Amino acid sequence: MNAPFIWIFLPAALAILLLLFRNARLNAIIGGFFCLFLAITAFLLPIDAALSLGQFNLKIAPAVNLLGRRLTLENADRALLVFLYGMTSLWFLASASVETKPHFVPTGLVLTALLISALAVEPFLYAALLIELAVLFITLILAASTHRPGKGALRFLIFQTLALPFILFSGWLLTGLEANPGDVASVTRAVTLLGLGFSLLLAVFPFYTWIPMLAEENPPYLIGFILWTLTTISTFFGLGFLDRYTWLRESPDFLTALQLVSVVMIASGGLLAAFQRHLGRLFGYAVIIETGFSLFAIGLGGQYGFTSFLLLLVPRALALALWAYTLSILTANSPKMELEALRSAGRSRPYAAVALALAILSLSGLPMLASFAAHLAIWNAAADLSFSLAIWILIGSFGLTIATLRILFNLFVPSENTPWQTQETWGQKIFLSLGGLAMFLFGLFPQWAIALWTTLPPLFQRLGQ
Amino acid sequence: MLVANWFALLVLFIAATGLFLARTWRWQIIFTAVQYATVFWFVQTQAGIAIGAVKLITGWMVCAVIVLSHPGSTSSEEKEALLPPEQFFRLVTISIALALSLAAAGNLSNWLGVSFPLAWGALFLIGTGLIVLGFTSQPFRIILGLLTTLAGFEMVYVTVEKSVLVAGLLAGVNLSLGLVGAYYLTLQAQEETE
Repeated sequence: MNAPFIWIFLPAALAILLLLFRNARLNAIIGGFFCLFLAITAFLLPIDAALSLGQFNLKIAPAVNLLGRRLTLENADRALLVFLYGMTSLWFLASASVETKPHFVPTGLVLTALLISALAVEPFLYAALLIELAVLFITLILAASTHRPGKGALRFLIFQTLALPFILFSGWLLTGLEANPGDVASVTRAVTLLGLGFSLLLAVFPFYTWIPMLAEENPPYLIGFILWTLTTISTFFGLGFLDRYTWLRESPDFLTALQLVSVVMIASGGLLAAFQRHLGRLFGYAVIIETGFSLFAIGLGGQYGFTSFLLLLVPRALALALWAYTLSILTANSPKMELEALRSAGRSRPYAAVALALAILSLSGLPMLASFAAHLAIWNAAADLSFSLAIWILIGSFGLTIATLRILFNLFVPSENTPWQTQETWGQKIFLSLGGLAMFLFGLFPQWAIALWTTLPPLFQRLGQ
Repeated sequence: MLVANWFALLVLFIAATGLFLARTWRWQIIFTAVQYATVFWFVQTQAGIAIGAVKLITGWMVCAVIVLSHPGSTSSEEKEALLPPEQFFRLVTISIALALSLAAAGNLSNWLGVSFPLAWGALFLIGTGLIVLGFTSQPFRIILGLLTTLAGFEMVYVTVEKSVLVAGLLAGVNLSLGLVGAYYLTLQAQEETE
C-alpha cells in the first residue's frame, strides 16, 4: 500500500466508475462520503510509519515510481490532503441538494486527484505540466457544461497554457542556481521568468481578466469548485518554490514586489466588485481579492506571513463554497445572475440570501465572521509596513462590503408579486444554516481555522521558520 | 548539417508565416503539420531521433484529430480574396516578429549553447504563436496559436531537459490541446446546425 495509490489513484478510479452513473445525487453522496473517508484517513494514518491495528501491521509507503519519476506524498502532506479532501467532500455532499450535472462529481474527483499528483510529482517542477493537463481537463468540463467555448474559457486556456513554458524554464534555471545562488544575471532571469509564470498561473494583476469572465459564463457551483481548487493548488505549488530556495524566500525585493502586486489585486478587485451588477462576475472578483490576500500574506515573509496565509485557507474555502452554493439556489429558477433578475429573490429564498450575505461579508473581513482574524492580521502587518498599503487593502475589502449592501437591497426589496416564503428544500436549509453557522463559529474561534495545520506535521520544512 | 539547419529554418519561416496568413482551415493545418516537421528536425539535432520523433508524431496526431473533427470550411472563409487589405498588415506584423526574434536569437544561442538557426526558429515560432493569439478570438485559431507557441518553446526546452517523462507529458499537453480544439469545433458545428 502506498500513499499515491490511496489519495491519487483510488479517487481517479472511483471517478471513472461514477461516470457510468447518470444520477447526480447518487454521485454526490458516493463521491462526498468517499472524499470524507480520504480526509479522515489522511488525518489518522501516518505515512511511512508502522501502525499496529491489533494483529495487523500497516505501513503506508510514501512513493510510487512512474515512468522513471516518483509520485511522493509524505507525512508532511497529510494536512494538505485533509484540507483538500475535507473541503471537496463538503462541495460534493452539498451538491446533492442543488442542481448539478451528473458528471460534476466524477470530473471534480479527477481534477482533485490530478492536482494532488501535481504536488506529489518529483522533480517538483514537473507539476507545471500536470497543472496544465488539469487546465485542459477543466476547459473540456466547462465546454461540456455550457455547450460552447466562451471567451472567458478561451482566455483562461491561453493564460494558463502560456504559464507552462515560463515555469518549466525558470525551474530549470533555479535548479542550476541551487549550486551558485550568487550569479546575479541568472537570478534575475530566473525570478523574472518565475514571476511571469506564476502571474499567469495564479491570475495575478494584470492577467486576472479571465476570472470574472469565466464566472459570468459558467454555472456558479462548478466554477466555484474549479476556481477554489485551482488557485489553492497553484498557491501551494508556488510555496514549494519558496520553501526550496532560501535566497528567493529571503529576497526583500521579491517580497516587496509580491506585496505591491497583491495590493493592486485587492484594491482593483474591490473597486471593480463594488460596481458589479452580475453576481457571477462579483464572485470572480472575490476570488481575485482572496488570491491577493494570500499573496500579500506570503509576501510578508517569515512565520507571521505564513501563519496568516494558513489562517486564510479554511474560512475562505468555506465562504467561497457557501457563496457558490447560495448562487446555485438563487438562480435555480432563472439562470441569469444579474442583480435585476434576482430582484426580491431573497423574499422567496431568505435562507440563501442571508447565507450569501454572510459569505461575502466574511470575505470582506467583517468582525465576528470567519475571515476576520486572518484579515485583521494582514491589515496590522500592512499598516506596520506602510499606511498607504493598509488603506488600499481596506479599500478592497470595503468594495466587497458595498457589493453586499447592494445585493441585500436588491434581494429584499419589497415586491407585491413576491410574498415572504421559504422555497428552499430541507436539505438546502440544513446546508445553508450549517454554512452560516460555520461563518460565525470560525469568526468567534479563529484558532479552529489553523488547528489542522498545527495538529498535523508541518507542511513545509523551512517556510514559516 | 549546417546547410540542412538553415534550410529547415527557411521552411519553418514559410510554414509559420503561412499559418498566420492562411484564411482557410485546410491550409492552416497543412502549415502546422509542416511546422512540426521542422520542429522534428531541430529537436533531433539536440535530443536524438527518438525524442524528435515523439514531437513529430504528436504534432501530426494533433493535426489529424483537428482535421477529423473539423466540420468543413465555411462559405465566407472560402470566398475571401487571396490577398485582402488586412493581409498586408499581417505581413508587416510577422515581419516585426521576424526582426525581433532575429535580434534576440543571438543572445539565446550564446546563453544555451544551441545553434543560431534553432534559437531563431524557436523564438520566431513563439512570437508567431503569440501574434496568432492576439489577432483572433476563434477557438480553432487559438488552439493553433497555442500549439505554435508550445512548439517553439519545446525546441528550446529540449536542449536543457531531455527527460522522457517531460517529453511524454509535453506530448500529453499537445494532444490534450488538440482534443480541446476538436471538441470546440464539434460544439461550434452543433451550434451552427441548430
